[in-house]
Amino acid sequence: MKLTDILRKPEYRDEPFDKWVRGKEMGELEAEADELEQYRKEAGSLYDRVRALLFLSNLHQYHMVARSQGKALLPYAAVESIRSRHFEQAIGELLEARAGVGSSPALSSGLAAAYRGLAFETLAKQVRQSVRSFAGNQWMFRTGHWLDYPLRLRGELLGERPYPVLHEQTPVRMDLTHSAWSDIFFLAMDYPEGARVINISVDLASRGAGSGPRPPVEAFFRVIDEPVLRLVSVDLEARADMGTIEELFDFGADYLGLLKAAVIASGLVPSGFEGSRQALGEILYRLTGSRGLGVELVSQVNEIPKGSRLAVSTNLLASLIAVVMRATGQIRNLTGPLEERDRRQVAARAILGEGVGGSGGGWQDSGGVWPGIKLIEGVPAAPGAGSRGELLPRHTVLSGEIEPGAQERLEASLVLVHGGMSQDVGPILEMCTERYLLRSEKEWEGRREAVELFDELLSALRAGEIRRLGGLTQRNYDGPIQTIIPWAANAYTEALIGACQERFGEGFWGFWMLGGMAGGGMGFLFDPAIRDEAAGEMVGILGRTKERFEAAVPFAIHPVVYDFAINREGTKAELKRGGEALLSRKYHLMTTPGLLRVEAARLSEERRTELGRVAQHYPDLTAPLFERLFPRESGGEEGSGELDELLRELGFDPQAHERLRADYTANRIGLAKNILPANVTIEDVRPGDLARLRPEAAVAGARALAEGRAGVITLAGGVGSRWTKGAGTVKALIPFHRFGGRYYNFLDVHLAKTRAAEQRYGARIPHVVTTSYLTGGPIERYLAGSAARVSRGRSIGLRLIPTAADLRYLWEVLPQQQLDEQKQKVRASARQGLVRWVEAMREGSDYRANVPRQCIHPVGHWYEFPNMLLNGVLADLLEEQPQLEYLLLHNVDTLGASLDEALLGNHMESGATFSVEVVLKQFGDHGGSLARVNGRPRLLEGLAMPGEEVEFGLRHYNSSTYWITIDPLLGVFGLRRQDLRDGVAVEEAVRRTAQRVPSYITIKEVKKRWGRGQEDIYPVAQFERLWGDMTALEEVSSAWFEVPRQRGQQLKEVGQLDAWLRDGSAAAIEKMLG
Amino acid sequence: MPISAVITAAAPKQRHLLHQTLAKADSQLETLAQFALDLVAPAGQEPVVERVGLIIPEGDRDRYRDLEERHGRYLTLIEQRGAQGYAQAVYAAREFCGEQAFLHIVGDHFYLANEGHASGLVRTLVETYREQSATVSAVQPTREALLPYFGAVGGTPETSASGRTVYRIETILEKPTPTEAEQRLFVPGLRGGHYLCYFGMHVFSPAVMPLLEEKLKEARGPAPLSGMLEQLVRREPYYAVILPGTRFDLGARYGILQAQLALALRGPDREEVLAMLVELLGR
Repeated sequence: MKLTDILRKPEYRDEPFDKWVRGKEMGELEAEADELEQYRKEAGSLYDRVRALLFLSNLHQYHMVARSQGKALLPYAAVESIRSRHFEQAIGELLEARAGVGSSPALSSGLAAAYRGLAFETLAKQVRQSVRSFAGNQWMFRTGHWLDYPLRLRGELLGERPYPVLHEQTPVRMDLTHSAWSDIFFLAMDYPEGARVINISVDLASRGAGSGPRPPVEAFFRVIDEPVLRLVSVDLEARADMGTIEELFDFGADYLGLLKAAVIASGLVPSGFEGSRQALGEILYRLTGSRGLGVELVSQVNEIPKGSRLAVSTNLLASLIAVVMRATGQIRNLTGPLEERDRRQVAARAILGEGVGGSGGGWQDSGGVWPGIKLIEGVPAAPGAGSRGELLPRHTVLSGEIEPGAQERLEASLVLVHGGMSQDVGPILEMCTERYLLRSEKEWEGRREAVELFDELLSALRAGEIRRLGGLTQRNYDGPIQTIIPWAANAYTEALIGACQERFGEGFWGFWMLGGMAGGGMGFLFDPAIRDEAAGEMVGILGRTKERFEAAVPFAIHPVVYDFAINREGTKAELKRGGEALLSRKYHLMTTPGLLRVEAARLSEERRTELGRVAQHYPDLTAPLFERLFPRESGGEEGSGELDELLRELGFDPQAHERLRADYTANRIGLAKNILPANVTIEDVRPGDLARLRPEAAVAGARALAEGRAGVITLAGGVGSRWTKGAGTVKALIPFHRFGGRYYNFLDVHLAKTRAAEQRYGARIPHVVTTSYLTGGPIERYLAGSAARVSRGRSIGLRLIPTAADLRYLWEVLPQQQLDEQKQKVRASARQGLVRWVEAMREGSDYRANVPRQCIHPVGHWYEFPNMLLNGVLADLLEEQPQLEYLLLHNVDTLGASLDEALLGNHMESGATFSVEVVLKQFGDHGGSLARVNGRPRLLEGLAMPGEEVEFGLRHYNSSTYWITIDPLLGVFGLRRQDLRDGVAVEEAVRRTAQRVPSYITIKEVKKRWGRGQEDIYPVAQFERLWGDMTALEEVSSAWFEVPRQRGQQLKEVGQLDAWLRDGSAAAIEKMLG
Repeated sequence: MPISAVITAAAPKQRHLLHQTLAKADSQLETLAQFALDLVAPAGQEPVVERVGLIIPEGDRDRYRDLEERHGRYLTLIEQRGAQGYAQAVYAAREFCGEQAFLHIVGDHFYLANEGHASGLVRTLVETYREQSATVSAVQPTREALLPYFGAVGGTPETSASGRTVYRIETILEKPTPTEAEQRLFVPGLRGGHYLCYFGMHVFSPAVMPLLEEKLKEARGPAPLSGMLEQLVRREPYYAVILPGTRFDLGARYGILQAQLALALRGPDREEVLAMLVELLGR
């Protein structure tokens, strides 16, 4: 059997890719890759094409990279093509290179990335295509001029004053089981028979808020007597009047992206208008029949924070789309619930809207449009449809089929919570899709189990056996869900489940994963007899558990427990007329102050009478209105006093900061100034520059270890910016993986390796964890009682507002990963907004508009070793263990770094101050590289690289793992062991040496949280010095060790985890843990 | 089988419409009412139908004296009592039609055939009725932007005994949105974004009058005709045929202007009218 047989012959369709690959020789793999390449170009079925592409990607990434012996570099042109998403072109360039010089790990890594990119792009295109060709959506792509505009508002909305308000209320949806993400579009459209979910529409209220559960999502539509399209988001307090088509299609410019997407997807301003540079006025004229009129569309989400796993944004989009479709007669029922045909249309439009707005949702997410409990299943497509399943699933409302009282029993058992975490599930969904298409054995088995479990869940629900249901949802979570994606679970959730089991014992019936990843919205099923008590106690359990994990896990909000009720109607609308023609209380609280500030004579008749109605209808609005009109004196910027206090406490040097800021604003330093001058020659190293590693050296290395002459330094000052996208958690403490049933964080892994080495060599091996102000406290608490020593960071900086020039340099000059078309548009418009933001905030000024911890920054890992000099940790170590001579210094995310006796032996033999571990560069390795700079081998940091083309001409990537001989390194600082207690001398030595290494300006992303779990990401400028630059100092002698990738690889992003698990790295680490 | 024609012109908005005039090719002015009658009784040709009933607003008989004198017994003026809507206006001709099939033309449209006199369109429609022995409505493929102005049908194409393409109507929607039209009015073979919209001419089978009676009683007030035709689809075969001509909605903004221009550009004054337009554009 060949791989192409899996694609060609139905009887092999479910054969696992991995089974085929096992035991194959490189030649066989290459031949198969060539055949697949041919096949994927000719395959008629899109899904076969996509599978072929993923087979190719996996062949290269997990099999050919490891077995290729060639040394060919990645052609830079191919890297650029991948980044610009010209995947076909990249594949062509890489295959051409391979035909010329043969396979190499670098070429295979590039091919893997290009094939993968093309596979997912093809899938996304297919979904887009299906949404566009859905009957009822097509016209929106044909209509591009106001003369062709075909919609008119319904007479009921225009015929009377005040203009009536159409008010839509929509529940959100809970997911009882998604059958292991079977609701991902790609999966459902390829495997409709396995795509089944039980989806429940719910109303919510925060526990103890006083009001009972109600539909959490609301939309309002009305005619206004101004010729504008007014969009208002009540919960985000954002409002804008759209005058042109361009403004409407600008998604990142404000917080109104979702409303804009709804306007487009509802057909109010169809997609075909994009880029047409027409005024909206003509469309509004055709819509309302009058030149002086416009419309207002308002969204409101009640009390649900982001990350709830309740598909709030999709249901809000659906609610907005429904209200507009009603108003324009696209839905027959102006008020009341929807008919089935209209629900399906709204769901299809919501998918379209998500595509337009650059977000993505699942196939069941608009479930809130339907009433009650429903079974949603994939529908096989007609032959020749292009995919095996249809775009939209079938919804069967189960309420009539299930045992009377079952819904009530479910309500009486379930405690619904938001655990506070908000995470990007994108990488998880991609992993899931990939594993499905590869039919990975374990995961495919898991999927089958999930499908079987689904039938049991359905039968328990139908029979109203909630206890059995709880057992099954728990089994689903413990079993298939985690088999398929281990990272859908996390330590925080496990701790919560553990706490419930401990506290409530038999009364706790099971955990219910609400979809996506655990940690946000979750369900806990209890014996109804203790449910209320449990709901009350859950508040405390969640709070305490959150506190325990706060430093390690990204929390967006404080956990919430909800009161909830099953919504039995689905989305529904009412027409508010006459004196009742008003919007929500919150809306009027937000907009009335603005109206009150305008002279009465300048207000339109409609607005004046509205004020009267508001006063009459909401008499309790007066006090909060006064609050808004005359806000109390506030103490300047957010936590400004606290920040100054923190700066003082952390030994911030205001003079040095002032100098830096002056240099930055005067453009003496900046992103473009980081690079080496043009007259420096940069070349790849020569073969003789790398050490020839002698296995025999292991004997000396082992002896040194046994004699206690070596120790470890783990750099743990970082907050994993890329891991959590700037959430500010302690990278070292993130419990990222379960080894042997127990969660390990990064630090656990390193400490376990040291313990294993101590046992092996029978010696004490000192282990120092260096920290920064951000990580010091949590790490010290975590390590209390452990043998590891904490080195406290002593250096911090205050972040700056970047200059617009730096932002432009970053986004326009430096290479950027292109996103798919729609996301790219969103990003471009958000970036324009950020440039306006830095200009408004004053470029180069201090960044203070955030919580204090997010305003300061660690100043680069160069300082971590000097900090050990400054804080006396090294002196202590040397006093306790005077024989200590060598240190292994590595980043916390280089999981493979270990006290390898052979490498230590080779370092000892080299006689160098540093031996630096480097790996052969592959696609995606970006940053510090080994280079000959003006003829001398040294590490060249990515920030100093004059261009990416230079970077891709360098074969070796810096793994940031250094073997250090202590005494010569102290010599570089001008110190000896006996000087280490002389604080003044040490300080002077550190200051002097710091001036000899360059400081770089970098732009980092920082999250600012507001509202209910909303997060904005801002760019900030900060400076840093990097340890690799020590190798540039004349007196530092360095040796260069090429080590295997598994040893040198750094885990920077969640998205790397899957490859890390599959390429054997995880298994290798598990072995090291001893 | 003799057929009568019923032309409706009783809607309050149309009260003055049929008295407006257009300039004909021979530079003579002609009222729109006369144009409408020319469709069924063209000068110098065999009439298409046996007689015509013109439905006019109550009390307007005097305004049609000239027309009555010109056409004698061929034309019957029928006054509609009160403004009861379109379906009621057609129903007002119940006695005039007896239990026979009848041709119905809306009075607020102006027609031009692609070739020859517009009465040829009516002749084709009547022939199709005879061939199918079932209600036939004339339709025109219309782009979706114009859906707010017309009723539209969806159905399946069939070939008549004489080889003409007719459409067996399955769905009728009055002024649908393009969203509904895409979902429910799909017609194989039609260009994307185009739908079969009513042309304003129908030959109704004898079953239509009793159906109108029944539905008008139920509605107890003004009622649209298309809702009733939806019922007809469920009761008996109902066909549509595309006629090779153009209709102009005279009641629409600039409708009369458009009709006049189209008429003038078809005649010997074409050059003159074009020059006039160019001059206007150049100002």
